[in-house]
Amino acid sequence: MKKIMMIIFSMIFLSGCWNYGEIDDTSISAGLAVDYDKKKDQVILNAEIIYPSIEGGESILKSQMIQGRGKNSFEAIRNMIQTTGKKVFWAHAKIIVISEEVVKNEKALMSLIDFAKRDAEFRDDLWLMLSKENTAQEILTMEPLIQDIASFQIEDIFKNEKGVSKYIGTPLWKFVDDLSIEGISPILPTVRIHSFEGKKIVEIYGTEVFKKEKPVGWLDGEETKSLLFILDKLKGGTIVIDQKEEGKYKKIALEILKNNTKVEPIYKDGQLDITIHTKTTVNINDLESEIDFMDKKVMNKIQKTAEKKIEEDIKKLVAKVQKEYNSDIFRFSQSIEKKYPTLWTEIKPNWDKVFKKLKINVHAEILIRGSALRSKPIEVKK
Amino acid sequence: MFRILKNKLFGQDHITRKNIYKPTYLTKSLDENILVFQTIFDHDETIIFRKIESREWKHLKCCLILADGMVKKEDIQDFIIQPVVESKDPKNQDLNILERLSNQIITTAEIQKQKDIDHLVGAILSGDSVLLIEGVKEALILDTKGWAFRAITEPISEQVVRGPREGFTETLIVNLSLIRRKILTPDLKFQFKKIGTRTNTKVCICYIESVVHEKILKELHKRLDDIEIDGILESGYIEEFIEDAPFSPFSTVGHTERPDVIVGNLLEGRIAILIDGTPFVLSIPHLFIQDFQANEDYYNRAFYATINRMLRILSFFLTTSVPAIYIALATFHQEMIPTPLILSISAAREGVPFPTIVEALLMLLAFELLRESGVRLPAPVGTTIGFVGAIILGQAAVDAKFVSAPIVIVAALTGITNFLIPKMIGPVIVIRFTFLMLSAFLGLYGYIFGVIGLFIHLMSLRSFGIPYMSHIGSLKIQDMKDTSIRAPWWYMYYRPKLLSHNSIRKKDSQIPEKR
Repeated sequence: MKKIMMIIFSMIFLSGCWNYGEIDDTSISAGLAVDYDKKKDQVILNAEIIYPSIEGGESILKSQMIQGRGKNSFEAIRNMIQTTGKKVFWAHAKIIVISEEVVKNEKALMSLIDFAKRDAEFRDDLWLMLSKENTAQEILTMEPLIQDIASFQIEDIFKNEKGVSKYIGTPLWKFVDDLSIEGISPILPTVRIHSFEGKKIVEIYGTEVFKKEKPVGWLDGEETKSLLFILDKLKGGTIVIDQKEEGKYKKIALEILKNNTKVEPIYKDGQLDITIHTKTTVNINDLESEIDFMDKKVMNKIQKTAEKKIEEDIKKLVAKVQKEYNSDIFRFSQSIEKKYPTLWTEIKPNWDKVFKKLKINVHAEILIRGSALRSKPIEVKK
Repeated sequence: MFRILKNKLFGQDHITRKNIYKPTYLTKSLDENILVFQTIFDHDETIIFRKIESREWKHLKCCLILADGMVKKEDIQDFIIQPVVESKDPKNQDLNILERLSNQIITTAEIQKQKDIDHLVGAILSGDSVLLIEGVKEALILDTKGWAFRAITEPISEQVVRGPREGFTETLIVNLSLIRRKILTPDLKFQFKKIGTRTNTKVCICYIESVVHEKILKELHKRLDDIEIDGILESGYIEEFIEDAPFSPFSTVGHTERPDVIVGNLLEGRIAILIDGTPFVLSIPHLFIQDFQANEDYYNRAFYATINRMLRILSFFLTTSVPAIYIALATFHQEMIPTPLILSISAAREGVPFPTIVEALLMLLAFELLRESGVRLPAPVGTTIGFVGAIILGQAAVDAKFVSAPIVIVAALTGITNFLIPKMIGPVIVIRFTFLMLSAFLGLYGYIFGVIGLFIHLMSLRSFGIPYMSHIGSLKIQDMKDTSIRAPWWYMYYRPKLLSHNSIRKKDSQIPEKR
């Protein structure tokens, strides 16, 4: 009994405290911006550090940028201590902004992604994005509008992406997954700065297309929406259509309530086709004219126009990606592998060529469920 | 050396006292008998020797021995002395003196013949009077008990909103009457024992014969008979002698001040142990879940009672674990705290000189100090202490950057939840500080170790052969009816299975029909 007690006591009191650390001994980072210095071949990391400060008796959050340079990401991070004195704590970082310089330099990108995925502190679900400005640092030094912290505001933009559907948030794990699955390629949302009421603010818009780890091109917001259609990730957003009425074009906005997409490869007589079925439930949300949509005929017309628009958009996007980028961001290879495993093993070695020549059929289906709170257009009486 | 000195000084004396000739039985001579008692009660001036003779019956010479303060003197005057003095010389000599006295003259309710001197001494000390009679080898024990006792009041430690407002008192016989009044069946048994070589404290074992488990009863008798101590002042003495796990923070013997709780226990097949001189009555076997059950649960409607029980179980978790989890999260697993919260903790900790674990220990210690200081003070002073604790220690300590605000919340939450399970305060303190130290050294890893250790310990405990955690790990609906939930009375038609050999409480479910 005495011996056991001795062993227990020495286990507790003679050992250290594994991983012990006080909250106030670390600086909490909210986000990271990665740049690359070509001349010196150095990675430049800029971290947004949050610190509480007391103003007028109340403590508010403030942020500050700190910088670390090094041959690779990890060295740069540890070099930050030289300036801050405290170890930077990454578990609460929400975003990583990558500059185009980094993306162009394959080594720098892979070093960063590998480090972020490997390190225990970085979360798997932090948002990756590509800066369309000269440096990534500029993005984090913008002036946040509602939040106190720039990184948190960017995180909010991603959290509410489903209302807009013009960008696709890519978490770290997704990017790594897409890189390591055969056939498909990753995408990254892009971020740019524009000014608003004299303030520099950020905007997430569009998608960068990769061919594995190499960037090959860019899609704008509307194209991104079509991409969302194909990926079956669409949960909201709007479709604006031009409805021809009495010889004039009138704009009608449809709010997407629900969407369900099925991507089906069909192999017939040595010919591989991809059929995309979309089934979308919408509301009429914004009318420019006095169209009486309670009329079945008018309703059908609107429906047809919207269906045609979706089909055309999707076809256009696939054609563009096939022709210009030749990168399977639509995950077609996955659906082929699922349905025709043996076929996939045959075409796998020259998937690039096959992808380029894939024939795409699109069938869009629109279901207009309602018209929000009004059943009739507002009549303007003179 | 002291022992040798002690032997030299007192040893001799000890031997001589022991060797004094002490007869075991009475003789025929009144004077001799009186002398025996006078030697026994030497130097005790509360013992009264009252000689009585009859005016007309010349043969009758007696002596009444009684302990002052333990008897009802009016009763002695009216029912013993007066009848004896006024008794007439019997013409008929057939009846012997003893029979005549007890059957025709003395009018006390209870009367007993006895010749054993030890027994008589015991009777005198417990408030009975002993009547010695000239020419008779036996004496009469007359029931004249009557001492001052506290009135029956509501127990302060277990107050209820709904339920009977009576509590046990310090007098054994009153306590027995409180139980007897609730169970009107000859099945209810009371067995007396005397424990304590000096105090000779009366202990009563109480049970319902058709429900109780004989093996448990036998085991209890054995354990009580094994006790050797000079005095029993409170039921706690007995509790520590008969409990199953003396080194566990958990008690395997229950105690209460309320007769309704004890009667409820008796009906479930448990055994009550009443001890003279204390209002706290023990009950065995005592299980873990009983500390979460309040008597009011059974009087309130089942839904409300169930909610209350779950609150108590939740508060057991909170009061043992909140400080440990806070320490683990704040010093080891900062990534598990939501970002806004870690920022506010970080802001609050700015400028606080101590590590988080020291803060936690300080605040918990302060809370325990306040609790202990408030317990034995009169109520008005106790409230003041509460305010001082809340204002000075809480607010001022945070303002002075002595501790951070979150730790005050943690300590307050821990303290408040502690009072939801008042009977667990002792074990909870031990567990809380153990968990706290474990998680201060190893984080959540250590905390989980603590929880596993606690469960292994609890599962290994037994109370008089019944597993301490029985009903808790069970998935049988019948076993769950009175644990974390309290099933309606019409649905509980079994007694706890292990406790009683006769486990059917009533025939079957009696759901009140829709009317």
